[in-house]
Amino acid sequence: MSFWRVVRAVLARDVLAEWRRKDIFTTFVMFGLLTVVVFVFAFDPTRHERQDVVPGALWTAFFFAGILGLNRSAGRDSQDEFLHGMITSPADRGALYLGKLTAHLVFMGVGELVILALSIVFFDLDGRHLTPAFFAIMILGTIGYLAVGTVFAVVGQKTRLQEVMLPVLLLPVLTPLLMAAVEGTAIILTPGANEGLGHWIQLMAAFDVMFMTAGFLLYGLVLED
Amino acid sequence: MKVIDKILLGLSATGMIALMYLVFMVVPADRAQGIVQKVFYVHVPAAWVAFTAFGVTGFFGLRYLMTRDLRFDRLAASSAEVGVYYITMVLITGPLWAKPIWGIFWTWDLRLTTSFILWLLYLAYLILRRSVGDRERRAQLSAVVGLISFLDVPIVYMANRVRASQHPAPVVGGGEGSGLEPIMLFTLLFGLFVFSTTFVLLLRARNGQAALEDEIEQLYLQRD
Repeated sequence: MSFWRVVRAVLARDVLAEWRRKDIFTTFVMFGLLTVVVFVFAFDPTRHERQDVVPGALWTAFFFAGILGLNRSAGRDSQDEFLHGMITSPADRGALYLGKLTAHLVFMGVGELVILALSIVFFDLDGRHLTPAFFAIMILGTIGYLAVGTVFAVVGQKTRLQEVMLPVLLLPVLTPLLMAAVEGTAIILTPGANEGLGHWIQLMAAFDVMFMTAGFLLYGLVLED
Repeated sequence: MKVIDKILLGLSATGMIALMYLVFMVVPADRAQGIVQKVFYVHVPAAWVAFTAFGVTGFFGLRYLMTRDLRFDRLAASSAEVGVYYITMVLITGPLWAKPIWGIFWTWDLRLTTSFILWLLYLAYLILRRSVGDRERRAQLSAVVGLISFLDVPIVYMANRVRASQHPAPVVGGGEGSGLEPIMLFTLLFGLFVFSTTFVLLLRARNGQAALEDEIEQLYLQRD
């Protein structure tokens, strides 16, 4: 099978499996939403500026809910013997990685949009806030998150600690990405501010390129051991 | 004990005593900061050695992936363990200095945050190692995680640089106006030397222990 056909096959398989069970979507949205609610009660938004609460609430929700989603995905692959299928298939490991990464991007992207839609209501966001740069940061942040997360989810699955391993491994590596995403989003939500936004976007782009390359090269080593 | 280990042990032990003598008896106290500044001769060498140690872990992880020789995996793991010990020392001595000088133990500044995240990264690496039973699998997974953590360090540094930094700028090889009194520089470099020999000594000791652990594990598996 050619490279891109493998990518499409993995993506199609994951989307179909998710369509039938919808467990990644429901856990992601539910947990993400609860995180936003926790933030609302922890930092009363009526007493803070929008840019002080919203970036942290959104990105914490995405990061924590993403861990549940990734664990669900890896756990499901292991139960379904799909992990085993990927190991025994002669397909290019990079193609398998890109397939899983794209599938995760679809799931997390849809989940993020639902959480964002509710946040628009909760935090009174409008066209002044939801600029192209806002979505650029969301996309870059999610790609970087999953570039590492897709690899580490399989690593976690292969340890004794299982689900608990993923956040322990993932969150320290993602701290620069989280910092860039939160700071970048805060700049966009601050009225009239623009300074430094370019730096954060560049940093996220560099993170994405670096760790997608690393994931592409290392995914095979994580799968088969 | 091999000859090289004896030499390393001798150098580290006498060197450490000599370093303490230099720090407490010879080097003058800093004009502005007073005696508190002397923690610098422990803090800075420990930080240098810690960062090198994690580079060593990344390097041997890569070597393992290229050769599948467990010797390299043991070196990577031992270096991470000793590195965590050094970075812990950095994280303890730093706040001891910061409280009297800055008035606070901790701030989320460039070097502090980077060191702290480094500590978290390598603790996670060690936790991972302890939760994988199969020997080859442990080596392979931790090599991958070690490499990714290693790649992450420069990005952590850059992300923190975008924010303002209040940590003292490097006094060696820093910008204009940096530089040390000759005796201060000597003590610092001597500290670096002693900490480095101690690092190699600990690395070799831990590595030998790890080899024995692997041997015992092999014997245990073959007992039937």
